[in-house]
Amino acid sequence: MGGKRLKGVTSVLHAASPQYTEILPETVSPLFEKVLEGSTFTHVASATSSAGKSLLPRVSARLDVPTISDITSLEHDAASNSTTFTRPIYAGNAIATVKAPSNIAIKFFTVRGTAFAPATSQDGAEASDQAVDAVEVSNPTTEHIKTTIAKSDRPDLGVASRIVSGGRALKNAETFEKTLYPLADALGAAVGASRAAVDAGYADNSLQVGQTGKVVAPELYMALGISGAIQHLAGMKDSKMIVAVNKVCLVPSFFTVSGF
Amino acid sequence: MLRTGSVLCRRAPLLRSYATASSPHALVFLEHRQGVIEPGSLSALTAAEKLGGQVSALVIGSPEHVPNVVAQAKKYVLHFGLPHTLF
Repeated sequence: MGGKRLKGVTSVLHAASPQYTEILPETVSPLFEKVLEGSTFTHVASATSSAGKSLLPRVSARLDVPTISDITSLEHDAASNSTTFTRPIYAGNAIATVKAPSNIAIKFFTVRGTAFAPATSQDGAEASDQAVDAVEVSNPTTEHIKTTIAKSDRPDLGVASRIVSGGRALKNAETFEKTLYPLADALGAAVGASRAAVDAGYADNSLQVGQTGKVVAPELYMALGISGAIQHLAGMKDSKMIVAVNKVCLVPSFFTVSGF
Repeated sequence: MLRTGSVLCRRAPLLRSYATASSPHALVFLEHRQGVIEPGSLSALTAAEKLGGQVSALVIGSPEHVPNVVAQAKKYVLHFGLPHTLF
């Protein structure tokens, strides 16, 4: 009696169907509704990913409850059955504290990955699993045609501990490649880019760091030729050490820089 | 008589702490890419665990990938109550 702590993952529900090969919100949301219907679930969470951002609001809207997106912290008060979240707003310039009261039966939220350490697996640990029947959607309104993923031998931007980023000051795609890639390879770093560099075609879309790109928080972030517009800072200001290489002084990123 | 009374007294607070009517139970959408769990979903697991209750994971995918992801997911048993340091 007592003493035994609750464990994180207590059960794993799973649904398999050829229709779920690619996660489309239109085909997957009926499954979520079925799983949640009459269940004891009080919260539904996902990463702030493309799939999560399109799926959770869809399901929560069907249940007439809100989704709180991109949260950076949470606290649940069991006594009042309310959960208080914080989430960045205005490109990270302000933090909103949002309370989901008890009259929201199921609280939906998406989680900012850089704000929580990833869970670690343990050998010998076993949660129970339970199969859930797939809900076939006979006439899906959307269809997955293809996925194009830029292949790279470098670490993934989202999980890299070091990132070397380039901006518009690198002039063109060739200079971008010649300047950044050898440095990134020497450091074992991922390559990032500012929106200006991506728009100008120096780098692939998937490398964009910032408000409209990826949000990263590596140990080391090197910004080469990036002025540090607020939209870029929103995607990297949680980095441990920021190094900026730039001709222009007093650019915004220098206010957050730890060494240059 | 006296003994029964003292046992009852001891039990009452225990029963109260085990009342789980309002205990949270989170469902985490565990994403994977071709059978490999996405790191962002693992952060979502940590966040869900901080609610202080049960956490269930939901794995969705094609029949060829799901068994493998479920096997991985079952090992993500977190230690509840341990302070998690950020990063």
